[in-house]
Amino acid sequence: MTYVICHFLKTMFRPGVLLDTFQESFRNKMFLFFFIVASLIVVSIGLTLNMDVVNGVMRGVTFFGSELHVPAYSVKQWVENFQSGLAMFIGTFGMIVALMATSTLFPQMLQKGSIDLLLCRPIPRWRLITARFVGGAAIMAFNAAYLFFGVWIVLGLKSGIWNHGFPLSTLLAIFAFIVLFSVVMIVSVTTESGPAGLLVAATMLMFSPVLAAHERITPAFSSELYRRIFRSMYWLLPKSAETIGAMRRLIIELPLDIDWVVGTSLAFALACYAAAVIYFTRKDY
Amino acid sequence: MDSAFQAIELSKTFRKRWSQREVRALQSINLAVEPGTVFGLLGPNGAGKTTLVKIALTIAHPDGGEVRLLGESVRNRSVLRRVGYLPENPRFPSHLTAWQVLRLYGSLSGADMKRVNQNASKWLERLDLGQFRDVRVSKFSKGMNERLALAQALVHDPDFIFLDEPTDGLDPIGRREVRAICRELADKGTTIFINSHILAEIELFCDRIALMKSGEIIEHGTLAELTSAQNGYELVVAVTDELRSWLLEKAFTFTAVDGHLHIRVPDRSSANSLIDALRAKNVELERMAPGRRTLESVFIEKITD
Repeated sequence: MTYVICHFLKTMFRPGVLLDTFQESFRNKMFLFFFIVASLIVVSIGLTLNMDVVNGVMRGVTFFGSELHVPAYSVKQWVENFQSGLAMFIGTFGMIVALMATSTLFPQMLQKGSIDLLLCRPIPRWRLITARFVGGAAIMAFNAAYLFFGVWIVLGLKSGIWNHGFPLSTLLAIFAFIVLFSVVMIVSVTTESGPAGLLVAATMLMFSPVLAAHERITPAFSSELYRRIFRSMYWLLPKSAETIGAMRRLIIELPLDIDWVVGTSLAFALACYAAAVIYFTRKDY
Repeated sequence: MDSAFQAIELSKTFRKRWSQREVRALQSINLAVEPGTVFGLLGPNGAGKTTLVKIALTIAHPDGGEVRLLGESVRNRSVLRRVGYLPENPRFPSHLTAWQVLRLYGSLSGADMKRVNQNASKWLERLDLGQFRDVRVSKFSKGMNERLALAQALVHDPDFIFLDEPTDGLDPIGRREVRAICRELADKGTTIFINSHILAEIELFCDRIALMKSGEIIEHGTLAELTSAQNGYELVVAVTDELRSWLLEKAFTFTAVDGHLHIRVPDRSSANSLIDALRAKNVELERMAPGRRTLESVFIEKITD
């Protein structure tokens, strides 16, 4: 199986572009920052979080020596709440850091003198840009998995609670990132500007909770046209807030009903990807 | 035998996105380059030279016509495995070392990595970069960057090489080395297509030359064909005041250089008449040759036409 996957990656993308994306990403200071922050979170939870558990009930918690006031939670509840809070933090703040770290990947590739050296090779253009996309997404998936699994293992060892929803929620975090990264891709490829891609993707992330509340907001609009526009935006644009919210539901073991959230967000990401590939394939450099 | 490079009715027009302005970069160009030659494409800035090369390498798309490299249409991208390219102002990923750059581009060209490794060592040594093999390219000077760019164009043993301003940023020794490499490769059968506006370089490098202006090929031939065509004769004699006065009186065109008069006449019969007249005056003829223009004078004449 591993051989089949390696062979597929090798023939699809040529290792050079993927490897170069990885190398470039690791040398990127923002990635280093992200990796160090993730490591600090894992290590600080491991070294400074102390739980006082009596008969399966939390009596107290200290974090960096300070006592946290905890209602009489069961250990399981407390761990789930801690994990869901962390997941929300990563899904918002971490997502923006991840988008910042990856927003330069496409503009750097498209720089004059650099793009010429790639396009003159016997590799179709769609493979070049797809390799770049896959490379960027893979790096962030690695970082997210490192952080989530690290926290999961440390908390599991300390509390004895192994909540499988938390590592599984990594998949939703990666999915939410990939959808927004496709926005960075299309904007960066068309404008050749990293900040522009970051700005559009971050705006979508920040605006998504507003769109998610469309059922409560639209009745306040004065015109039916505005209501339709707002609802259309909700259905067309990625549902990042709901995807991140689904991470919390998964962690605290609430039922998930996110087929339409994943489906419409995936359709949006695929449309962005296809548009970026078509534009890149046709453009003269 | 197939041409190594063939442009057939190649056209390209650039349109500004928000205005009606059009720039016709290439106007139905037909051009062929024979295998194993060093070919120079000359033209002023904006003539369409780089556009022609970029279309040949699929970096830009033509509006009409096609380019064939080594007998195959470039629509079949696999032919690009056998092609090397040195772009003007190359930019490498700054996090890579010289060695990693050559391995990256060698692998992207689909070459066998053992051969890439051998060639990388060979070209780094040859281009005086051997000691900088593990230095990141972000620390390279412009000249080192240019030499590395030449190495990446050669690292996969291409049969056809495009060089866009290959000596830009190099010192005289580096330029001589690049010329020597091009000659060696051409002697082994590699076709080299040089794109430049440095006339002296083209004169030293190239077996055949084409002049390009406003998207059209306006002249094409060997250096001798381009510089000698229909240019009369030049006679060289020693300077005397009497001869100078006589030549002025007869309205001959001449220049005085290092104690000699270089007299230009338009054709063979005028040359013979002048020789008879000079001999009658007991003037000794130092030299006579078909009048040869410099490439620069041809270039300026054709471009300003």
